[in-house]
Amino acid sequence: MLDPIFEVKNWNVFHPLHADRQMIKDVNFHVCKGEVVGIAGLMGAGRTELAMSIFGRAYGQKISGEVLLHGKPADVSTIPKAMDAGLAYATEDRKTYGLVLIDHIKHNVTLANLEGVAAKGVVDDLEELSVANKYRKDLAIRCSSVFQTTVNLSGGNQQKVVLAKWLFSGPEVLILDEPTRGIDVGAKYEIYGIINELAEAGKAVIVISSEMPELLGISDRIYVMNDGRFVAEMPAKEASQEKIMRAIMKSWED
Amino acid sequence: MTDVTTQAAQTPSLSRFLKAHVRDYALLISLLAIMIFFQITTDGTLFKPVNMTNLILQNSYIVIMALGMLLIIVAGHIDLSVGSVAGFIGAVAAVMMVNWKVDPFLAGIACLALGAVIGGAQGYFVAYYKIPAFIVTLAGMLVFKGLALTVLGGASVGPFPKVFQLLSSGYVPDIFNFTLNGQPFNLLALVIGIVVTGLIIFFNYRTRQNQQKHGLAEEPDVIFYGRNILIAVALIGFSWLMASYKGLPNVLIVMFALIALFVFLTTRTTFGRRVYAMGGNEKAAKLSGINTERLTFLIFVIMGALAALAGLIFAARLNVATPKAGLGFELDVIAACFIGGAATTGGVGKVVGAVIGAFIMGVMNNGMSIMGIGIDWQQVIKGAVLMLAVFLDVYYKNKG
Repeated sequence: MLDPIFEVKNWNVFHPLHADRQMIKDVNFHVCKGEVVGIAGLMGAGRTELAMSIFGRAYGQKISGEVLLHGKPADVSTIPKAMDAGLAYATEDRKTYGLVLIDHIKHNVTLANLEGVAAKGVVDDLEELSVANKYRKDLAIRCSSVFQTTVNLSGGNQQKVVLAKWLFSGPEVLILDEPTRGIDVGAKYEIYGIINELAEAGKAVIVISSEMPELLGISDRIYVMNDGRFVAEMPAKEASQEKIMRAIMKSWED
Repeated sequence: MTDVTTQAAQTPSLSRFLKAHVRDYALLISLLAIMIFFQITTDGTLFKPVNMTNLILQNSYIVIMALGMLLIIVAGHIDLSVGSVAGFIGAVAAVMMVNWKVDPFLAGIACLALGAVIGGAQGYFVAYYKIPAFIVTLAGMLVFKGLALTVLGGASVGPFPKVFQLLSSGYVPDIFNFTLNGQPFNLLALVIGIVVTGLIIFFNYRTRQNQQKHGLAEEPDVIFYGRNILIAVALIGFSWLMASYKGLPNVLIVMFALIALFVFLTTRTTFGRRVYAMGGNEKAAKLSGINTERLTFLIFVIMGALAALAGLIFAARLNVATPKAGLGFELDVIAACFIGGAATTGGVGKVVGAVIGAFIMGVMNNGMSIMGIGIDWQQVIKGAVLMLAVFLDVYYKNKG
């Protein structure tokens, strides 16, 4: 078996407003280099909450547990620290949490890594432009130019801009939350291609999705989540929709 | 299909370009139109060297505060306390220099630092406790208005030491000792004007060459050359006017340096880009690793320091600190930003716009006063212009 590059141990999170309500209960999981791990579950299972609490404690309070990168404890206590450690989280709600909609593609792509196109705090416009154009080409973002405002893009192309932003931040571990929500089949297919390329490039990819056929298709391994717990783990080859649903139903009975 | 649209976007076309940038030029054209209007209605008084110098001195503190206010408005906040803070700092400066006989230079530094601390205190509540800036700075406005009264003991304190007065009433001394038609003519002012014009045009030209090399120049030749000729005429004409009076006021130098700094900050630096991103979508900015709390705190610190500088300039200009100093400044400053195209929702606005907005208000004040229009109708007209400017902005945005 490959060495896990990303591990989460005994992760517990409480609701940000109701301090006695535990949202994530003792979650343990790991992701290996070049592996795509799916997290399946029903709406409200706590998948987004889990991902956001790991990504710089963007969700919840009284968070306890350990995050290991390459076997060493990593500091993910704030979003900038989590990013420095090599994490990226592409949100499920691209309009509220992903894009600056009134700004154009070029500015959105570099938002998470402005230092990558700047020297001593001064942005190099042409460098930034070439970065934006590179991702426009690589991810096949359809637009009139990188100066098109993101509010005028289709859902699929907006999603690609969000992906481009996180790819440019150079992460080792990518958490993609519902990466194909509300976009057409053509764009979905392209995004699956991007996910596979990322895994081939040696990144650890975690995909959260409510569409089980999609998870079965792109993942190497699937965790099933229900009511804040991980209730099952299975290789994608052995998984099926029935098996995932059975794991969820069984956890309700317990 | 993608290729076709790309091509079309890269071909500079005059009408297409004008349509896309009508807003940028409309503002400048409005300022020119207003100036020409008042030049005619005041029988040529507006452009007299002494009046132009006055115009600069009268509006410098509004412009300086508008720079900070623009950052605050772009970030999606507002600062109602700047007028009171400016008045309070003027009072503190007066007490330090006049009553305590502190060295003016030292007192000035202390006042700027105090302004930054005041801004920071307000920013702290806005940034870390998420209290709306409207409330925090409304409270600040009352607090510092009251403190100004307390510090001055209800009376006016002055006059200031000579050195401090130079901040507002001083001019860059001439080194040439030149006379034109028997009148003293400050050749240095003209030389500085020409050098600055040359530098601006040189940088514009270099930027354009760079853009052309990468096929990015979207501005048609006609507009580029027209714009630069206009800049040259305006700047050299302006420095000629200054030169034929007393030369360049010290305040003008401070103001220009700050404008240049803030244009650079907002357009070229990662700091500026983060402020715009935060104003455009705070949640997305935060989730992209931007420390939005610290950034908000920082822009309030900058605003506080600028309000303090404005307070010092105003006090030095009047040569006395009065409890009523700074009254209503915040309204002119905020109006300047919105006339200049900033959006109440945040994320949109330009420093140059805010500066032009401040001068539109300033020229109207000045012109109407010369015409002898009463303060009552001046307020009505200024209010109507603010409303019209924002209405046109929203109207054209909706029409797309």
